[in-house]
Amino acid sequence: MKYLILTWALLLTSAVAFAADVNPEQDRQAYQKHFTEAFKEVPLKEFTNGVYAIDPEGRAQWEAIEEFPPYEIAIEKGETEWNTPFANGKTYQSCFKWPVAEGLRQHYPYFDAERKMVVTLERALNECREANGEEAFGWKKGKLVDLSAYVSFQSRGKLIKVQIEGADAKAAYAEGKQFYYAKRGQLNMSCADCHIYNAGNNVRADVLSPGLGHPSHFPVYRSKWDAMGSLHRRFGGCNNNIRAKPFKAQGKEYSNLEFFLTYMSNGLPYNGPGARK
Amino acid sequence: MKRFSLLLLSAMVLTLGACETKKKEADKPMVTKAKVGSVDCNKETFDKYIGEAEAALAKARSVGHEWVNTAKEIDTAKELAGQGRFDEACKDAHAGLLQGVMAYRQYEDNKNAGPRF
Repeated sequence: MKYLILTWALLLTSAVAFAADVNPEQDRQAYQKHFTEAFKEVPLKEFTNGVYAIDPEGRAQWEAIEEFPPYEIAIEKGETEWNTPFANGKTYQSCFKWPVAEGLRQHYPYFDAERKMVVTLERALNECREANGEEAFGWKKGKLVDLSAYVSFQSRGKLIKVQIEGADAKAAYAEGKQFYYAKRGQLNMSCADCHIYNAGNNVRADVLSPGLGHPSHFPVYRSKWDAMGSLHRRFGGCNNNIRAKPFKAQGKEYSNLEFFLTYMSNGLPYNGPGARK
Repeated sequence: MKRFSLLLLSAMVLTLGACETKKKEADKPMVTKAKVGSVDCNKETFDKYIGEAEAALAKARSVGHEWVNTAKEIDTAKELAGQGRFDEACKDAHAGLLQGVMAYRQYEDNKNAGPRF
């Protein structure tokens, strides 16, 4: 009996500590406050433009690139793919309750309470394919990213509004948050080291972008890749840069990270797809 | 009720005590945990090193903190050992071991990572 009470006491203490620790809304307010105070001259909405919100020289080049957006071809290819029926005659739209013309990206990522996992837009698109007897596309580039570009384009201007409800969703959020702030790799650096504490500083010739607004403009055409890529492709590249072994795209680690990071940008508009260096 | 309150208080004290112990542990320099050994090497010592390096890598991998080059260091070490170049092989195995140990220590140090605004 004594042990039973002790166990309960320990569990209660842990649960109270966890619940007190996970406060997404408080985290979001502190996160956004940090950036709006660090870059006082930048309006909140501008953070969706990433580094170009704080780097005037880079912005001039980016604006020139945006005159002939390199992601336009991906949007067109994505639209064709979206409208092409599967072998069973159904289309992607059959998997979604919202019409694509009103945008889908603003409904993702969300926490699926039944499956106890974060579902990203890319996962939903691939699951739609599989549910209709088609093979899944690769996660990081190619046809899936084209589809994602088309769908994201429809969501331009819609606000980010990730919801975190229930203990499991909070746990996924907490894991994403821990990932974001944990130092990793041979360079012993965290996502936050670059994109919070050193946002605006230079890494060699590049200005580090603020973390706020990061998920708003994906997928992106990246000049370095000479191609489109997903957010998880970028996560992998960042991990590789700090000499940490990247995780699989759409695995638990990066999905939870996306969940956390997108929640941090709640209230900002989507403006993807984007173009980046 | 009194007994329950006492037990609850004890549990909280124990939890806080554990946090304090973790903090002290985290203050130690990372490298003191790593085994630094001789690189004078033959097949026997290489086998020992490579076994330890692989175990360290597996431990770091199991907690999601594998470094990008560790597996490559270990593969190169095995390749060199296969060619009978044990001194070089042990250096790479040792590098792999050190990286694996440090990566796991990094995980331990960052379990409760959070913002510092």
